[in-house]
Amino acid sequence: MAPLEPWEKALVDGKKFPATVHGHVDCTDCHEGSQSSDKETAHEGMTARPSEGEAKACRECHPDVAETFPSSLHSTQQGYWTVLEARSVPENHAALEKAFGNHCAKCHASCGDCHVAQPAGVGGGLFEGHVFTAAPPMTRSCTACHGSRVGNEYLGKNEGFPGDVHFREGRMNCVNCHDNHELHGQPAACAECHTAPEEMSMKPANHRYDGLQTPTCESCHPNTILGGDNIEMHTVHGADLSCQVCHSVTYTSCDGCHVALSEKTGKPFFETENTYFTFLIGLNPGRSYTRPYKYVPLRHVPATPNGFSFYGENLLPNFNSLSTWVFATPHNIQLKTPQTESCNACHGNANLFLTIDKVNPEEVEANQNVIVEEVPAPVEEETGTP
Amino acid sequence: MFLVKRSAKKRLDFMQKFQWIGILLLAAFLLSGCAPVNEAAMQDESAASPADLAPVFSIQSALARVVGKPAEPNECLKCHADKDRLIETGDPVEPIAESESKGVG
Repeated sequence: MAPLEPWEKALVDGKKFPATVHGHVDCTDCHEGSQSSDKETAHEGMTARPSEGEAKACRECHPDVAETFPSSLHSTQQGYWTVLEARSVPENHAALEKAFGNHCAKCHASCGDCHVAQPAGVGGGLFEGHVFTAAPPMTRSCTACHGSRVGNEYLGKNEGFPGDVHFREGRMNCVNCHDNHELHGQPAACAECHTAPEEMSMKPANHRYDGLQTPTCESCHPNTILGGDNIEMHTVHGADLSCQVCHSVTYTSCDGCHVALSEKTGKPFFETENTYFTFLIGLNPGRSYTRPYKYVPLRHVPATPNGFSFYGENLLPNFNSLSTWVFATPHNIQLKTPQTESCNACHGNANLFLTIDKVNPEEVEANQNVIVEEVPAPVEEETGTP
Repeated sequence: MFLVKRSAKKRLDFMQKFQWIGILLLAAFLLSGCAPVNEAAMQDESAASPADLAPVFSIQSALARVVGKPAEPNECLKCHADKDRLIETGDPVEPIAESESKGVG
């Protein structure tokens, strides 16, 4: 989408907005400042983005969401810290916090970033003349931030690779799968449906693939669960494979992201060394009750040991404690893929598996828990047995 | 026989003389249904319920606070709904330095 003009970002729909529920609230109740025909007077003490922080402006009418959202991944970006803390040591946290504030924190989302305006990190600007929307507009909100990988995959923007079937055929929006409880970080709501004892005892998620699996493919495709349909591959593989192993196609991987502040402008910038397409199956580094798969697709993330060297030397001394090829759920699902063509499309096909020869020698140690040592043997196609 | 007839006539006279009192009593009873409800008494009764004492949030209660306000001139909206005024009063646009970022973020 073309960048908005400054006036476009702040233009309120004078007919539609006053007719909405939020239009009945005095502007200054949320934005503070004061009612005045003089701009300077009106804007004195004004808050342009009143849902930031504790979301005080939203809390009065939406207390349930406002209570949990500040601790949700969208708000805290805890996933970053889970990784940074694992790879660093406490004495380096101050330098990393500075780097995080300059380069990563802009991806934090507040209530308004999804429900009334584009996130500040992608330029801001009201969606529809300040008319609030319950479901975020996908391309102006969700994929405006989650664009380089998820957005491009889902919408079919990677040349030569089709968009996700849920978009192509179903025109499904992100929120059709990722419901409000998940996006607002409301684990109590998850537990209303996920009632198994193992699930009830889980701690809140501290990264994307932690805790309850929401959404799950099986929520909409219950027949695919072991023995639920007549598809032999589903029966044979059971829970050994994540759905994406067979039903996703080539996706993006990146290498070596470095961050720094510009010498010219003082502004933060990043540089990634390489971006390329991959489809590689590896071992699930965190098999659990909710993610029991032995094999999952792996995506290379742009983490690198000296990525934060602008802020200090050797800030990630435990870099190898986490893999650089990580559990991925590519958002380009297809009914038929190269993997579903036959058993031996995967069995015996080393090209599809993350074997040690495909790993950068400097990263072998970090990826020990995901590298496939032995590619599954070819099978007799007629009988389907090894 | 004569005595019986006489006593019956007396009863009839008595009833005719005082029938308006009965009509008045009946009318008063029927009209009592239209009397205003003693709201204070009802509130006192409901106040005795501990469940109702708990503060109950509803979006209606929050809206009632603002919807009931007398309409005031909205200076914010006057400006922010006026494209020309926004352009006229907008801060000068500073040239944004081209991002030095390279690669996929």
